[in-house]
Amino acid sequence: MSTITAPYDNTIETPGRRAPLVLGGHDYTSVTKVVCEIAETPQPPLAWFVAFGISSSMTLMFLGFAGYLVTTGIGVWGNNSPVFWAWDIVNFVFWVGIGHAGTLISAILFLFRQNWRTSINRAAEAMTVFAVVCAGLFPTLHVGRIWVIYWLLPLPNQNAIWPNFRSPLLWDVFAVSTYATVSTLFWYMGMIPDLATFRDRATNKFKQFVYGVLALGWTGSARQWYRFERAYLLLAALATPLVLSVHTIVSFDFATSQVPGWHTTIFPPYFVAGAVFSGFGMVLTLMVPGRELFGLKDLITPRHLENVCKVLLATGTMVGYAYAMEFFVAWYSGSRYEQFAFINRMFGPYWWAYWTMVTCNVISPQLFWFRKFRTSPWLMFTVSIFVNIGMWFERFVITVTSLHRDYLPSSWGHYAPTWVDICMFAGSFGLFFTLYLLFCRYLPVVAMAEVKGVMPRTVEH
Amino acid sequence: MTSILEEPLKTETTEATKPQRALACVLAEYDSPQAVAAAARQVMAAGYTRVDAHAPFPFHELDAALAIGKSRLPWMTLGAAAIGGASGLLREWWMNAVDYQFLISGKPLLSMPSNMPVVFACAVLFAAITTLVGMLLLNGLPRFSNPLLRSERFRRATNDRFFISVDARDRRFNLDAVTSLLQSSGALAVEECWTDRSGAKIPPLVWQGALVALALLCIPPAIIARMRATDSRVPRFHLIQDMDFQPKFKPQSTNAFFADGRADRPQLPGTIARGDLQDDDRLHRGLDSAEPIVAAAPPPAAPGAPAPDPLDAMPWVAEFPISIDVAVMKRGQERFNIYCSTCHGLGGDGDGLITQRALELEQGTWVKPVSFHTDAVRKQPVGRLFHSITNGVRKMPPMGDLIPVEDRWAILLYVRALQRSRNASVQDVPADLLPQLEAQ
Amino acid sequence: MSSVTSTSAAARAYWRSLDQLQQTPEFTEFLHREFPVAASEFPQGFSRRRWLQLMGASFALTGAAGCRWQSDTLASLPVRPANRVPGVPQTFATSWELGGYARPIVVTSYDGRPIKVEGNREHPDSLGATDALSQAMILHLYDPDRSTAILQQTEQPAVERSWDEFAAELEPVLAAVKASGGAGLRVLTETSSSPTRSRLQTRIASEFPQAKWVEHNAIPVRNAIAGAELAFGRALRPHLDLTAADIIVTFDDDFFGHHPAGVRLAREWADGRVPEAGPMKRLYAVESQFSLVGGVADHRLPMKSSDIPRFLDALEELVDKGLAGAPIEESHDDSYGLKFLATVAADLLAHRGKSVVSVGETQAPAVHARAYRLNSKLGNIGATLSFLPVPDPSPIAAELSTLVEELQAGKVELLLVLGGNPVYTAPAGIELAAAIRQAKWSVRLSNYVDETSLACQWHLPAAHPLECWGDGISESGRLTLQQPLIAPLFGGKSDIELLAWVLGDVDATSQSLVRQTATTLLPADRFDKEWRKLIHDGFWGKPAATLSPTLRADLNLPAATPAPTDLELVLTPSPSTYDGRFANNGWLQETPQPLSKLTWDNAALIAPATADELGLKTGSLAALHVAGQTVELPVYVLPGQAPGSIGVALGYGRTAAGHVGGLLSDGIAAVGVNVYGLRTGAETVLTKATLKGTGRQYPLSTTQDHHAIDTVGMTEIAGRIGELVREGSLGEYEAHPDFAQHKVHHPPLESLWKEPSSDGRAWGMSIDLSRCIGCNSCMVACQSENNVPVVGKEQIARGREMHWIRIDRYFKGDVNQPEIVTQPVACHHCENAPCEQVCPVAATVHSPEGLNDMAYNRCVGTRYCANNCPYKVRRFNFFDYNAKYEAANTELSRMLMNPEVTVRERGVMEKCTYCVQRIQNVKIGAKNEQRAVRDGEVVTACQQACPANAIVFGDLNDKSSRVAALHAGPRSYAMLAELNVQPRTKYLARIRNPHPWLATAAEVHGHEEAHG
Repeated sequence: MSTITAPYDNTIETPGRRAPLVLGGHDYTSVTKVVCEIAETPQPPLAWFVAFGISSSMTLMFLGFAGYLVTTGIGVWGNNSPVFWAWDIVNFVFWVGIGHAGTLISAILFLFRQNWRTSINRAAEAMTVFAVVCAGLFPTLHVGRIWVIYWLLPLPNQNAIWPNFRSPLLWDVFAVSTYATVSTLFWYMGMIPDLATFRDRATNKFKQFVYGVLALGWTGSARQWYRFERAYLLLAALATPLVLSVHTIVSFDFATSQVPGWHTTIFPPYFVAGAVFSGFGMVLTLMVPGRELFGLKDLITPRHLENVCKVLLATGTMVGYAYAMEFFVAWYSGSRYEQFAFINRMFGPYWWAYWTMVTCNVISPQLFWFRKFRTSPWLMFTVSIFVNIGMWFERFVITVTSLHRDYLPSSWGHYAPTWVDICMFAGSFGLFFTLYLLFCRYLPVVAMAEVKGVMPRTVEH
Repeated sequence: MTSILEEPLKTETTEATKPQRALACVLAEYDSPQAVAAAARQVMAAGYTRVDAHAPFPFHELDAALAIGKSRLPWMTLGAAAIGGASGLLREWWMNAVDYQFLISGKPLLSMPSNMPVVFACAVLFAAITTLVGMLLLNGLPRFSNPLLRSERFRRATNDRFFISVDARDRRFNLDAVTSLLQSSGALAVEECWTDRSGAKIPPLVWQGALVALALLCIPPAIIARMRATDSRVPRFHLIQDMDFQPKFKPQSTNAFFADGRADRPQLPGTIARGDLQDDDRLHRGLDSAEPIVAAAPPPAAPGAPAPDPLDAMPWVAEFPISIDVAVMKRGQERFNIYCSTCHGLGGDGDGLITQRALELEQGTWVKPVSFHTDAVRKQPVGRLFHSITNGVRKMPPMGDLIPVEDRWAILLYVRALQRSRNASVQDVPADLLPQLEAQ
Repeated sequence: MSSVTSTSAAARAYWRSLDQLQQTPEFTEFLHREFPVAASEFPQGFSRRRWLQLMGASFALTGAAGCRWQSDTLASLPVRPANRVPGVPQTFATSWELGGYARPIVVTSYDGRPIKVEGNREHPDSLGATDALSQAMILHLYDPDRSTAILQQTEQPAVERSWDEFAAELEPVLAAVKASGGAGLRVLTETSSSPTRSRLQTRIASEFPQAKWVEHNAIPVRNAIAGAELAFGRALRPHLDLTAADIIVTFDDDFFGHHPAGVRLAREWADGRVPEAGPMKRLYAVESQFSLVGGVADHRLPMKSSDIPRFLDALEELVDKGLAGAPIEESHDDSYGLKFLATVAADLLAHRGKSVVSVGETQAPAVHARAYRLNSKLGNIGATLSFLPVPDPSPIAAELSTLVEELQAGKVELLLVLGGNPVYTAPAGIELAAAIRQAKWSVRLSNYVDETSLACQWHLPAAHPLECWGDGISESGRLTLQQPLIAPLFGGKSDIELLAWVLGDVDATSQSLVRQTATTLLPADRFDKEWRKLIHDGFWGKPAATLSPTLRADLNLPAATPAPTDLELVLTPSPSTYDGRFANNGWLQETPQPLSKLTWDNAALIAPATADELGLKTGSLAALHVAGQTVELPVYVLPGQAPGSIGVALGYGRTAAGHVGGLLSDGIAAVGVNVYGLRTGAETVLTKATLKGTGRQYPLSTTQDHHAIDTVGMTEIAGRIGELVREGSLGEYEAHPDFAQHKVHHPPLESLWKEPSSDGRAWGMSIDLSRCIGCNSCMVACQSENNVPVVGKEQIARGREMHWIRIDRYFKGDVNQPEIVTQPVACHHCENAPCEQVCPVAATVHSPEGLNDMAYNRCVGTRYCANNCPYKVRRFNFFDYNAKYEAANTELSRMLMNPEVTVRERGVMEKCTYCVQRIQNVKIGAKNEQRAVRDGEVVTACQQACPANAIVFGDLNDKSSRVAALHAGPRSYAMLAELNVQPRTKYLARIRNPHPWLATAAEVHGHEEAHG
């Protein structure tokens, strides 16, 4: 087996020679070891415990406030007339956006045969699933009468009344739930071989049983592998349009409505680009500390990170283009209401939100033109944080700034979050990280089988 | 080598497993993809068909080597997508355009554009699930009891080693031949895998747990079923009241605020509601005078019949204050049969069903209604009769609240007709109807 | 007849004396709970946390308490009242009194419970409409803060007594008083027009010659009369008739406000502002503070009230010149004032006998006299301005100040305080509370245990106007009757009953007393018939003959002296609480004041210029100092306020109003600030005031411009108003009658789909902006009809008001001399309703008749519909705003709810339904009578209340209907039509009638501009 043992910068493109995706002189055995030991070690790093403590308590806080909200009324939030949607929907779109990177990496990059995806796709998929969970919570909690929310589903009922399929919100219900299901399937299916590995390395009966059940008796036979790859390809082919459709449909919530600043055809691509952008941003935010924490530097190599940065640069620029195009469309529409909506974004009461958004989303990714930023993890980590902030503000600008001043000046209003808003948003991060940390602890964080697949194979004897 | 052959002999001696042993397959271990691929080709060349290779990751030399054919999976996915999409569209059409039609934003009941997102989502959902499930089924998964999995060596199949297994059910299977073939194919080791039913048993903890869970699951439906079957005095459960009971007072409801507990309040004496002026004495009181006699009305349930009736003195109208035509007469007949005939009888002889019954029972308290055909009644001016209907007389309750004023006059008109019918002469019959009458 | 007698028997049986009720535990609980749930709103004093707890509790109540289906009991009346079917409302003509005049109303009674106040169509002083106060008065009937018992307050805590106990106590006192010829008897009350009361007053004067009768009115109603006395030598009250007036000039006179003839005048004015219907009136307003009149004026001159006398002088001079034959030229002076003066003079001269100059109560008698003289010179007296006699002052009448002296001197044996709230409204320097405590025996009759009650030894619960008989004279001089709709809920008595008691006939009921008075007024021969007619119609007979008196020969009015240049303070009755008597009325507290849109507070209104001088902003807390008195109150910068003039509303800062208006004893802070203490007498204009910022801020809650709007927004608003509220000058209209339809240019409106044809009925509404005076009575009417909750100051501040119909007010033009436009906005019931398509559960859908229906119980509360509504008329229940009705012991306040309208729960969306319950009732009636619904038969609550007749509702498919005609008319336009939502509510453009000398460029060629 030929492996790279000496320190090696795999971010440099040397023509004619494909840069390796695994460093540190790993062979199949050691790859398995590195990944499995994260879950097998009896004592995870202290940092894990600290992080888990914090995030789980934030989760409890979230649940507490959710209870308060449900028993008391939406009024505990800052929502008002005309800003009937505020942080609830902002957070929903924010999390759904983040939930895009995983499936995108697994599906689209897979179709494009981007082998570097292999060592990050598993973590990204997990991130997707958990982000979608967080996203789903907000629209669920934001309805006035959560106890009848099941009316949004086409369930047979004695009143023989059905949901209204013309409503974008109903499209959301289908799109998001489908997306949640499919990305979970995708995630799980990819994990089956690795779960088999866990099963076979299991040291005690309990682990063996649990992982055994999860692995469904996988033996890695050539026939299984053949069908597995077929299925994976098909799922990828299904997930790719789905990824694009989900945020498109989320954008319909806005685009199909009358509100100046919402009613625009540019939203679907704009939202998708934004989603990819924010998703990859979050991937970076998780990967950089993650690879340090779990010693995955050799599998999640600088090259992987650099590629992510490049994606960020590209999508960030797309988003910037969308911002510009919005203004053009508004001006070109000749509608005074549309035009004012955008002037108001820049110079109205919420100018600060708008400029925060522009700075974080359009300007900060431009740093990735410089190699320095693409190769030094902590710099890109910082930028990724900016991206997360910026993308949250993008949704804030779209939702709140458009709503607070629409057609009739008599009904113009102002929005300010309450402490409940703030705590619930923070709490959703708690939930997200709680799930993520559990995933890191008990499931294969890197797709071992796939990594092995892209490792160089010796052609001796 | 020997070790491999000895091992099963050891197990042979144990009593419990003895009858259950059977050879499953022969397993050979290799250390590299290339090696296993080469070996696979070799084994296939030797004409074996039930051969499989195992690797920690997929690589395509094996597909060719083992001559793995095309999979049906894509077709299953396609079919599922089609079904999913169609079902979605069908549902939307049936729900919004057929079963629950509503005019919404002036849009058609079925508008394709707005239906597409859901159709798409459903198609993908069905397809994705089918793909996963299909893959598993085609792979014969889940399969938890597999002889391979009992082999210590095989544990590395998901790690860093590669294996070939030749199934014992292969037509040309011969233990020694296969073993030697595999050994010659550069295997690190060759071993036999024996089925061992004993291990196939689900661990007791699992099925016990499953049973308990199942039992628990049965409880809620059982409770519901019981509740639906039995009837109870307490009202049904209604956890969230929503707007089924609102803080307002519906007609004839209760209100603890008032001493009598009624939410309905009586009209105060002397007050007059809009449209309730009744300033036409002829119409509303049957009196022919400028001044209504207000106090003259006897209380509703006046006891018995008073001797000298003060009412006789009053200026009753003799003529009907309403315009008379056939319609009024018919209306009067209808109303009479509804309100009066039960006591007074259809003919007004005071022999209504209730009266008959009362007399049968010999109810002493019952006062038989007078016949309309007595002179006393026939001589009374209509106004006086109207007053009797309105305010009641003797046992007869006041009907004023029940019967609108025009109807009361209509009834009177019919009563007059009844009276007339009893003592009419031939002259009264219109000339044109006379022939018919004589015909009978 | 029999029915009546029977019910009377029944009624007697139901008559609840308190001891009878003590048995029912609910009621004991109800009486003795220490904290009755506020009828109207969580008052301002309520901490938000406490309030949220209440909300939480309510959830627990709806959730936990009702875990099973509630079982109901059917409780029907033993004898069904004649002509009454359970659940079918009846209406009764009645009236109530405010400011010394009867306000005719018709009250809807549902199963014998009054639930809604409406106007009396036949009554010439109502014409079927009402003002906001009349709409809201019913709330007090069911207000849990009402006084429920007779309190003897000689010992603390006060002891509850029965009427008999009170009678026993009163007996000897009365005897003593009678013996002394009433030497120690004093009656303190308000001016009233009730013939019965004046009859009893005269009886008292004759039987107790030594007694004294003091009338104290918080809001003066005597200046105009005194002015007439000055001008004509006899006390008369002016009676405006705008039908004949083409030119109207007002000085500080808001005769659309709380004026007793406000409703009638609004109608007369509006009828003269419809360009299709002949010549248009023109209105000039000179006033210190923006009023409803100023709002609709064609030309308005902001001017300090203290400067107005001189302006009037100048006007009279100029008119004199003109009368002398000197033509009046257009003034080209820079000062708007002079231009204005010249124009007004010229216009008046051009319309002699068809014009009127009217002065408000804030001005002194001399100013009124001068105005009368001017009118007589112009030959208006008898034509547009006539006079009515006022009753001669009673021989025993006395002033409040003398009463106080006597009280302090301990001369008063028995003091009766009937109605009003003198302790609260007393001017500075009169220590009435302390004085009353000097009286040997003080008895207070009122609806609430208010500031005055606390000072008296005995408090008696008064009967609400809807609980007792009464009578009064309406502004046009008609005898107007007040008949009860329900037996007194707390056994209260009316003031006439108490006076009769003092006079010895203890058993006299208000009914018998009023009937007795009627015998002297109605023809004896046909009395019974006429009496019944009086009760039925609510009024009787012809208007009193109007007089056109001639000026006194020796009339000589001194020229007005120049007013001091420093700040002046003008005290006006509050649009919401009047003189403070409605302080506990949540509906009114939450109804935005027409111009400032301020709720739940009074503020110092100052002009932008003044604000800059003083360095004050809206919301900054300032110290107002005048005549040695100082109060701190928030500032509100109101464009159009006269520079140098501070306007403050009276009627706030109640300390014993109730849980809504303030109740210190329960730790509930007062709403607003009491400024009665600033005045020394009855005057309402005070000079030499100072206003100094304290540097602190005070949160004000407004329903519009919830926060200061930045310049970006301001410029945009200025651009939009012209498109939203379309108006033009008369000239513009005559040139292009359909100018309004060309204000906005948009491509042809095409739908992607085949528009559904709506045959059958198609309900629609038309709102004439030319008529609307922005008086808010539609808002309160809607609130009362549709169970619209009151949400309180904090929620308003958050922008969560629930009004189904609101009145948008926009300022136009120069910030110092702005014009305002008002526009009532309710759900437009769009045919392509944007709200419907976005509702995921089809909770809001279209009815075949074109109503945009809201299925409350299908709503899950995503609030998407509200986002998508371009008119922002949808309201969301952010909290359980009706918790106070769901809680225990709310049987009383619940009776307020209209049983025909859902009481919405937390988390559902709601909005205007075009009063669908009324539509259904009419349809049912028509169906029973097997006929079609007639045009004008369906009357929505807002339409019904509108004094100006601005709202017309009907079937658009019935081409003969009024609404169809109006929609087809040239002035008709749909707001935001360019969105192709096809609203069923359309507006008629507002037409101004500016004088060419004062017309702005825009008004001269506005149409071309619109194209530009």
